[in-house]
Amino acid sequence: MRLHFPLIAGLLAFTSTAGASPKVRFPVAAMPAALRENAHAVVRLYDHTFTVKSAGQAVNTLHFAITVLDEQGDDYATDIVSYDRFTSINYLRGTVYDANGKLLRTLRSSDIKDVSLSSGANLSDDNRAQVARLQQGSYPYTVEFEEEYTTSNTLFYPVWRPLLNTHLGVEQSHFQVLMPGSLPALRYRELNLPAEVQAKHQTVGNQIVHEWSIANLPALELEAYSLPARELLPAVYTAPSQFEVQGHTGDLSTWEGLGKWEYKLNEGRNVLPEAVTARMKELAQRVPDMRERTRQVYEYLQGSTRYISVQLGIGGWQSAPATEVATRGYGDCKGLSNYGMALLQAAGVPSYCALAGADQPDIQTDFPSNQFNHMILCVPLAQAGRRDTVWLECTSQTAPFNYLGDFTAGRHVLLLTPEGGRLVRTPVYQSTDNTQFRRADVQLDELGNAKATVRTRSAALQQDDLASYMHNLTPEDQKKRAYSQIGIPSFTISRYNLAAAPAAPLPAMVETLELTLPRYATITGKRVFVAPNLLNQSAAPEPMLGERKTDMWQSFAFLDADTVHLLMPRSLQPETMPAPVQLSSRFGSYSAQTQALPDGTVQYIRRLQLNRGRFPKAEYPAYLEFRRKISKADKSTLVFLKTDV
Amino acid sequence: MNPLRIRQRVLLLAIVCCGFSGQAQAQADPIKFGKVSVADFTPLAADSAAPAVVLCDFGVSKVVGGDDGFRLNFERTTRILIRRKAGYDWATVEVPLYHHDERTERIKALKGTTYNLEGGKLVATKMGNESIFRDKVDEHFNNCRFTLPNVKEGSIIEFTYTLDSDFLFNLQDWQFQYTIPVRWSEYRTLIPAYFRYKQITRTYLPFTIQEEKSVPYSTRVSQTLDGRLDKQDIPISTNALSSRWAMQNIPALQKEPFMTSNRDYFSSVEFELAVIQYYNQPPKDVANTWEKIAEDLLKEEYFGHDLNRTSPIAAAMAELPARYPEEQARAAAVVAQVQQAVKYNGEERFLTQVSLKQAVKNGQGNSAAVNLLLVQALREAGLNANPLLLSTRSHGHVLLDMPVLNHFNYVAAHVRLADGKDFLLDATDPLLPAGMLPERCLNGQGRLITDIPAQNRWVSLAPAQRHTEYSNANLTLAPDGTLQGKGHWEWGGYAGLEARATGTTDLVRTLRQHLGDETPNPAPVLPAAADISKPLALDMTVQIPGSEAGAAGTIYLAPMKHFGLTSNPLRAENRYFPVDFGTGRDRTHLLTITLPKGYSVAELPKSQVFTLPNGGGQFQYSCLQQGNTISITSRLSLPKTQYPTTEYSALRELYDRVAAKHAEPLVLSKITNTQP
Repeated sequence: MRLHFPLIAGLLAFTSTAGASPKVRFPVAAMPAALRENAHAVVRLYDHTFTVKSAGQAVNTLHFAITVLDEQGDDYATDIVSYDRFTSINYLRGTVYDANGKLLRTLRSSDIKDVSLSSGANLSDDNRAQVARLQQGSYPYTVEFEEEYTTSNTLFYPVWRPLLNTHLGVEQSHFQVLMPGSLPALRYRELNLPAEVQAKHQTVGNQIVHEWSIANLPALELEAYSLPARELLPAVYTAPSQFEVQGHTGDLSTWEGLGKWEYKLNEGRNVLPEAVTARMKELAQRVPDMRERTRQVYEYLQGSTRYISVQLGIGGWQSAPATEVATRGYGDCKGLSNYGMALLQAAGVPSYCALAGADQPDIQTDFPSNQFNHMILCVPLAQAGRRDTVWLECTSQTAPFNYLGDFTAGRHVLLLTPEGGRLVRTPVYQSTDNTQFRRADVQLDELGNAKATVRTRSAALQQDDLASYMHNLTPEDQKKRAYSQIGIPSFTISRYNLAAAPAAPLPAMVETLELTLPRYATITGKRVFVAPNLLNQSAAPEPMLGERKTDMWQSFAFLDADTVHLLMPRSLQPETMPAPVQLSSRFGSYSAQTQALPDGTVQYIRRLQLNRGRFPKAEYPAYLEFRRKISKADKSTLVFLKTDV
Repeated sequence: MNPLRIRQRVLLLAIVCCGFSGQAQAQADPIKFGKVSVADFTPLAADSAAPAVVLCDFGVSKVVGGDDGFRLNFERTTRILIRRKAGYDWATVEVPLYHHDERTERIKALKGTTYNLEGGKLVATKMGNESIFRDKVDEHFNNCRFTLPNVKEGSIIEFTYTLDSDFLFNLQDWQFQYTIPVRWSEYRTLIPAYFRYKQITRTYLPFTIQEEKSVPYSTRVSQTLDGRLDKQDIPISTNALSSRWAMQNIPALQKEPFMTSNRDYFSSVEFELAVIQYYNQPPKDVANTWEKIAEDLLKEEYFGHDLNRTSPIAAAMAELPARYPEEQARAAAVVAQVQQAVKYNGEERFLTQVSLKQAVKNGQGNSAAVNLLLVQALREAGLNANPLLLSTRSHGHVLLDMPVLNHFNYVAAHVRLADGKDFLLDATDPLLPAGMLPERCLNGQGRLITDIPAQNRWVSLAPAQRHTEYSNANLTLAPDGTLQGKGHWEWGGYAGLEARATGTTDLVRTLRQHLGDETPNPAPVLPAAADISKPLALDMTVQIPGSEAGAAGTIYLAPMKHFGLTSNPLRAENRYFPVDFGTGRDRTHLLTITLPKGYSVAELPKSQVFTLPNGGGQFQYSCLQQGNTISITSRLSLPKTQYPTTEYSALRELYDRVAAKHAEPLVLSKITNTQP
């Protein structure tokens, strides 16, 4: 499925207020100085008008001017207007002014490049763009663009984000939607808008005009441990009730309606070649248990297909017929999910395709609109009368059965059922799911050199990267990757192995390492210093600069437990042991203790559990203190005395 | 693709046929499309870890007759065993197709089949037209992409195509090595005596076969002869040079840090059209020589054409000699003005693509537009400036005895100072001081292009400046282990460039994180328009919390951990290719620590010096006590830009020593009366 948020565009005809001196435009001196703070660029003016012509056609008209303050703002001097089979560009004009507002240059049509936006992952698609670049060598300078494009794909209405990004100030931004009175009312959702911003709605002739304006917004700078920018920036989402793509009409006013449209689009595309149907029937007979049967069907799917993306026209939303996927052995997320559904159906297991917003923050659940870019498969099984839903990622040939990685887990997805769409949540992996258990045995010699054997078991979200290394890298490259990720100052990996742990409810990987650690212990005179926390030292948090402005966000919940056994030569006697540390807070808990065991070895045990969550900004100092204490405890050193000197 | 050569018209003169005709005795082909056998599926132990293995890659390029003269014909047949899912990407193939004006490269006879072993039987699935896509990439390139059907672990895929090309100068290169193992790779060329190509082979591995011989050759060319309207089919017979290269069991190329372009390491053969000599005609030398490259470039519209004209910023340049009598300062002033006039758009090119006047009007341009304007402006400011043609690190090495224009991709500016010294300039980066080239340009030698052929020569791009980091801190120790005082940091040469690009905020943030300084000190403010020709300097008060909790009355202190290098950047234990740093490196850290009253030194780290062989560098460390102060000096100097594989382990060991030395603590104890 294509990610298809059209670039925010378009506006209203600019009513020229600069009548006095028509040649000077957007002089930098006329801009409030406060907008330059923390900003690489300032939006001087942004007008986006979205004119809905009919249920199946709309026009975006944009006029905007941006002053680029420094090199990091240069990207704003590039205008990319994308188009595809459904979108045609009516015009694209550009002008650039110097700091005083003097015209430097007007874009010529030969300066506009036509490029393909097709990425490497796509075998073929029709995403193209016109690109205009107006970068200048001396700052500040101001670019002005005017553009208009018509689309016959009304599944997407624009999202207005006056602050296009962080580090950008806004002098004026204006958004308006013109709806014909004959169509159902515009649907919109406001997010993070300052209180003084009020929408205006009025009827002009046979059109209903909706308007939003904002002025003098200072640049936003993300703080450490911040929520994603998208959740902090002001925005107005808009969406139609009725829409149309290539003759396929739908109702977007409810999740049900969107789901119905997508379901209808793919209806009847589940016919399998006879041989495949026969194979699934045979499987159904041989394996009575539904869950086990589902697992075997998924294995068959993974073993006989691969992900190849082709997105052309309605093909961006409609899946390839199951027959084609079966014969070619490849498809995109829609093709493969639909094929998986057809296979399960033939094997007597009902399932539903589900639209998902992969690799992005969760969708706005209270605003039905197309916020999705991916498709997965949901198998609503039950066990002993209790719900036991299985989730399948059909684009991966290596994903474990019933496991959604960070890509789609913990999010709302839209189930496509014959009755319409239904919003459900994919599993959330908790800190006690995302575990990393490690045991290390370190043997130290008189010179401070060490050898270590380390075994680490990582589960759920903590195993995602490791699993991908195992599947995609050669053993030599896996070892190279380990070299780049281990934080010990100097070491050599003498043996490395990465393997999947035996099947469990959640997938896990086991990494086994043998390390030689030259000068792991530091010797100064008769003392020997050893850091018992071999592989899991956490970095100090960033110090707080000024007052915290936004809430903090810990996105990843996990539990790490490390046990290190230290075996020293007899000549070394412990002088000091770090005192045990135990911390507990609403952010998580930490403990570390070092003790000499009766057998002459030293044992270090560390446990860190962090919770996922959003915490009020007032708690930030406490959070910093928590992290700082952990970082400090992680660095603590054992001191031995040499008894033979 | 070399645009200069593209514009050249290949003129075909009347050809007279000779009587002799014969068929070249062909060598047996190593692969035949469609002849896959069950035995091909047997994996070799050597390839056990590979995601896929190229079983055979076979290419043949021939110059053949056609409409209005000769053309190039390239046939390729490839068979790949897909071993693991990670190898599925090898089942999708992309062929770039060049076109210019009416002339073009076309893909023909494209076929593909996937073979699977099912129950010991070979099952073939043919690739259909629905799996073949053609897309426009840009104005000169189209793309043909195809993907094989029904690919599974253990599948063998096979494809074949012919590339029919109107561009005689573009004899297809051949790459023998890939990031997966190759069992057999073979390339053959058949070139009639009318044409001679120069060969450029790059390889770290030996060829299994490398041979050439003269063979009889015949073809037909259709041509309009003088005074006739219709075309005539003319049979041609002559001799041809038949060449053959093959490599067996080629290991996958290993990527490592500190390498230049992959192109420098993959085994490959490239070609350059050198001589055209038609029957009864004198030979026409189309080969490049360095002299000819310079001469052509100077005539070229998008290179030399504008150099002798008045630049759009000439008026400003005329004022500079009076204001800056000293040459280097004047050059720096020119660079600054050129930067204001044209912004670098990130494209590495040696042709401007628009006139310099237009580039100034646009306010932006590629490396050629920026730096040729710089040459023009430097001249107008009274300096002896010329273009310096070079290849960037990501584009690969230039072969000094191989005059091939498309081995270059960039142009910088060269000034010959009054004392005869070289002074290199580049205006693409506002943070770059005059006399330094951007790091991407530190790649061997550049070719100086001047109006006087005798003065054209190679100029070393090895940087005069190193990557220099310096710090000096004066600290006082408190009885609780806290260190407090002032620090001074400097980043010079390429480190200065890097630090300025990072920005003060991030720089201070990183420093404070290293120091473990958690005090809410305000960040130091640097003067905005600091002189970029000087090192970037920063002064900051620091507070380092005590960490090593020792026995009562003992303080353990490893302060160099907070200032110097703490881990080895060379991680892998072995190295296949030389380490190419681009620049030499220097790191110096000085610390003075004043001890608290009532404490004495129990142990100090030993002062030591480590030296690399062959002048490769040195690490000096000293820790000395004088009264109640301790001075620690750490100095790492790596003067070479490149270290051969044989010196890798010594270099890695040196870095190990540095990290270990910086971790060594000082032990201080409280003076008690009971102590003897």
